[in-house]
Amino acid sequence: MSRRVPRSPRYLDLEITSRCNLACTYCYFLDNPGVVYADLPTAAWLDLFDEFAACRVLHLSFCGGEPLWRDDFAELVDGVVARQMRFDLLTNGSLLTPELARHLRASRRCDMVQVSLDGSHAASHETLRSRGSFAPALAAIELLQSLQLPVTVRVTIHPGNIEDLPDLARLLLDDLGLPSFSTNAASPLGDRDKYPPTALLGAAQRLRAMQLLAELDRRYPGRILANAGPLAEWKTFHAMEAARLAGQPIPGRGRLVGCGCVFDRMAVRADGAYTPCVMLPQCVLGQAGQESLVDVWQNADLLQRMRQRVDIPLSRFAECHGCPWLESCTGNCPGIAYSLLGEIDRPSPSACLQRFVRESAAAGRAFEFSP
Amino acid sequence: MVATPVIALQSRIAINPGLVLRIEADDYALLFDPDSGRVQILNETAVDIWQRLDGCKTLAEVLAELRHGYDASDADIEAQLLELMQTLFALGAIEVREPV
Repeated sequence: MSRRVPRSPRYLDLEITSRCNLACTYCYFLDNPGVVYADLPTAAWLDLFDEFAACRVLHLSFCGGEPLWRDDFAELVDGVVARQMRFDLLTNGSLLTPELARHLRASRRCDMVQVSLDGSHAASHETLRSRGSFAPALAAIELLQSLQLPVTVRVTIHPGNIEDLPDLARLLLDDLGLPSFSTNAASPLGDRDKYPPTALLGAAQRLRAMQLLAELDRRYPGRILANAGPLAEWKTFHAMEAARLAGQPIPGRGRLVGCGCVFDRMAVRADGAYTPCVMLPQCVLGQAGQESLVDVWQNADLLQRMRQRVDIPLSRFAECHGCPWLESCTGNCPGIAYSLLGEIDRPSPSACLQRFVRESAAAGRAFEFSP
Repeated sequence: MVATPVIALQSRIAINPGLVLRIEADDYALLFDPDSGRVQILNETAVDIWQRLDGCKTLAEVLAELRHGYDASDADIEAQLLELMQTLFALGAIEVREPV
């Protein structure tokens, strides 16, 4: 099965800094010896923007670290605008000033600002985030709303905020009136050993988060989004079970098709290293400015290999043998597979339904499919 | 309200310089408006025509160039060319310089 690859990436995720004013326990960048703290200077980024524009990249996503940690952020925004691209911003919100927010609005090229908010009140939000970070995040959301900038919220679910999810949904959707917000879960990005048990969901906690989110999804239809984490898993698991009961596997699955990113986007680390995505910061494909974007995109061995994953059947893997959902499974995120197993070409155990059923039963909380 | 110009073979067409043509593959491209974020898909023929619109040549001259590269009747090529121009004009992708 082949999938077409454009001549250059349409989207680039730019970790414009590895630094941050907060110290969130589950953050990849915190206390990680694998992180290179060598942010490219302004001029180097602007030179790269020239190359990205010449390759007709359409959209840049500013992430980090905390992108607003850079005092040249407004200049980088201007650089995007001058080069006929659009952008979005992923931020903790605490460094957003009214002046900067107005600059984003004036650019007319900002598709979205995503603010991280993990709880409905300070104690919940700050369980794994820095003390004093709740009020500024909330203020940032309200500031962006007041300027009619497109704002969304990302909630990272961890053992400490599960029971707060209903209040958080009420705050975001009812009180603040956001159209939607998205959820995921803390995941062992890059190095599993650095994550304490307080950061990662166990099977029973995942199940509890799934049940709460499924209920909230019914209360707020279409307004709680998830590409990964408990809500995404809940929906995927049910679709897989429905397919099994119907005897009709979900089309296009049963192979390692869990990631489509490598067909239209790539990432750049703060030090200028090209990587397949922000989930694979340790997999360097080349160095921006030294190797051409198009050359890396078209020829990097690892990217080629990742694009060929879609041809690998799950039946090849011993852990998938006997799985009743195999033909409807995608093999899940290669970034997490690599972090957990050290292999790209394997299914990730993190969102494996067969494994989840086993683990939740072992934890005394048997997973049951809801009608 | 701006009157819709008559697009005829005597028209000289300039592309909107604010748009980005992104060649995705040999047979199609994306026409991207960075101000609105809107994307239009152009097929191979439309891309070929787009790249010939320099604001100086008339459509008749563009048509003459196209006749050499396509296995279709003159009438078909002309009709498709004019239809594409109308579509692109409606999208704000081109400027019709004359006649108006």
